[in-house]
Amino acid sequence: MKSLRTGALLLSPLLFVLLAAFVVPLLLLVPTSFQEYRPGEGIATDVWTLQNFVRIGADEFYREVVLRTIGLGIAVTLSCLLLGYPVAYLIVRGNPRWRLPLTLLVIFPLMLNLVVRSFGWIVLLTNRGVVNNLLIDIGLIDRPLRLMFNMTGLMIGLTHIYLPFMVLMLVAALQNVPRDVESAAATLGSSRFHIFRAVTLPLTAPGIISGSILVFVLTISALVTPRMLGGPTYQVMATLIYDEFMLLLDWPSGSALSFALAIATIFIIWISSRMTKRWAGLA
Amino acid sequence: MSNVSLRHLAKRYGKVAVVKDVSLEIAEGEFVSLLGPSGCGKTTILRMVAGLIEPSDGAITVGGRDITRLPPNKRNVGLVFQSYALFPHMTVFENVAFGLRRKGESGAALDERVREALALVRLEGYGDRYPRQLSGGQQQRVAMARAIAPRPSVLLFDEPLSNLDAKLRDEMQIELKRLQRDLNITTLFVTHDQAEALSLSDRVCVMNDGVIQQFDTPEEIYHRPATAFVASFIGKPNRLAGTVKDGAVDLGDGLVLQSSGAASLDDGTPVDVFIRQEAVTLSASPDGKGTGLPGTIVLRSFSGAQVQYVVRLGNRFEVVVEVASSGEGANLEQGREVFLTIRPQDTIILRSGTGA
Repeated sequence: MKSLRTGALLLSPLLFVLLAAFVVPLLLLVPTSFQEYRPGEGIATDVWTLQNFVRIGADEFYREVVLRTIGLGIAVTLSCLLLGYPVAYLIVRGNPRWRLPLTLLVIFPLMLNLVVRSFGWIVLLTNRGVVNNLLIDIGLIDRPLRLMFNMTGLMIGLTHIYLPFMVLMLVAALQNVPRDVESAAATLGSSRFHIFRAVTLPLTAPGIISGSILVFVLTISALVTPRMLGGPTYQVMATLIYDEFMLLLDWPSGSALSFALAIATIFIIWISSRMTKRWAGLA
Repeated sequence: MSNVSLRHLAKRYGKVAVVKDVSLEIAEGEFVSLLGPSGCGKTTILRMVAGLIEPSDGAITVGGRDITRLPPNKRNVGLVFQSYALFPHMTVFENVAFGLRRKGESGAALDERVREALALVRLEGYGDRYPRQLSGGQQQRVAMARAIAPRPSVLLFDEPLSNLDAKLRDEMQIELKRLQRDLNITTLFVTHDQAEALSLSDRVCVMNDGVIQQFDTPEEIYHRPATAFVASFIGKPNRLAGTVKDGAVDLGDGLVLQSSGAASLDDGTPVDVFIRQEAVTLSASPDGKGTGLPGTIVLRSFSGAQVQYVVRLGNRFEVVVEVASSGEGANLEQGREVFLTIRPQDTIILRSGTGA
């Protein structure tokens, strides 16, 4: 009983902040999402409607933004995983002397402001940017490639920004794989590739899950980078929600979108962790 | 099943030599232990045989085949780790089947051989469990089943019992011995526990500081140690320094110890005499022949089957004596004058300066 009370006491400061600053405002938005917004008048508090939610699935524009956001989340997560795993492997299993420099190299971008980093990508990716100029100069292309205001730009920018999180998660997971277990597989006849596939990869599944969840959640809720690299027209859910609240003042629609995004996120995380756990034999 | 031979094996990390020029011939089906304190290079040798560490020098052959530069997966050895190193994400069945699948075994034949291996370690019916659902002893048995299932030509054990509690360790020791005898696989067993090494092995290889000290049967190792290191490492010996005089050992303070090995040494040779704690008889009165060494009991401690005494001899020595708690001399009180009798053939005499 004592340990329970100590636990509650230790939790209470964080619990209070979460309740006051997160849960209560969130709950206050629940009724709003079922109300109607009348342009010019404001929120009609007397009418209850499901219209805000129905529209997300029914309206073609909204539907496209939802699918684009989820697609972007999955694509960025997968590319972070594919790019990050070799780096994490090198950090953990490579020469110990390279460990610190490599880790610093991974963390370094995090020290730079998000706006600065996104702006850097604009300089590189725009029609008259560094990348396009270079490609035209060496004669690979005649006309500039469209690298911004579309999926390509968002993918590049967000993958770069969230890669460190994935790498750090994978480093922690790889460090937890006992070398003896890999050695055991070797003495039992596994080639190096088979050891990786049958032992190392499944044993890092917890890190793969947590890294992927982190990157996925950060990606689909990212606001600054999609706004800067996607422009005002290439919308994702976060920028759309921002516009609904701040530009259109359509709070009911904005909150409905927010809840839809949260529910979709939870569902996708649940399904993917279940699948990963089953594959890695953790379930 | 093959003989193993190590020829001039060495491992250096930079300037530090962990294993120095070790040569060892292990006969087919033989159980050999590598025994030594931690850091003596025994585990390094084992891992070189498994292919997990590359030797700096020398050669390893198994059944006449040179495997020195082969990767571990091409060597057909079975290795049991101190940490068990089971695959935590696989069931017991899949753990044991792992090596068999690598050899292309499948279907009913695979099932049969996994069942067989689990039966050997008495874990029938545990196939569907995960390692985390098993006790330490059971996990160690799964590790053994996994190692023996693909029928390796050599079995390697890396301190496999040191993570188990004392009672379980004794049980597993018996299981292991039975298993090795039944399978008749050439076995190399690394341990720092001398009781384990002596009771399990056909021959024991005592190592210190990367060098073989003695490679012989457990009886020889125990009764006729070749170096001072082996003499002091095996058993719980008392070490007395003295000089040879008239076919006996003069310990100073008027103490003269009869030792059967002293006759062949010249007078005045400095020697170390090793006397096992259990080789000493205590009596309250002199035995009449005048051979007993007089001493004083300074400490008595009772530990169940045995009673230990610390006896002061003269001014220079304290000797630990162990007697059966039911026998004679078990109830001598502290501070009492006693006489120590040691049969001349129970003393081990070595020239001073033959190793640590």
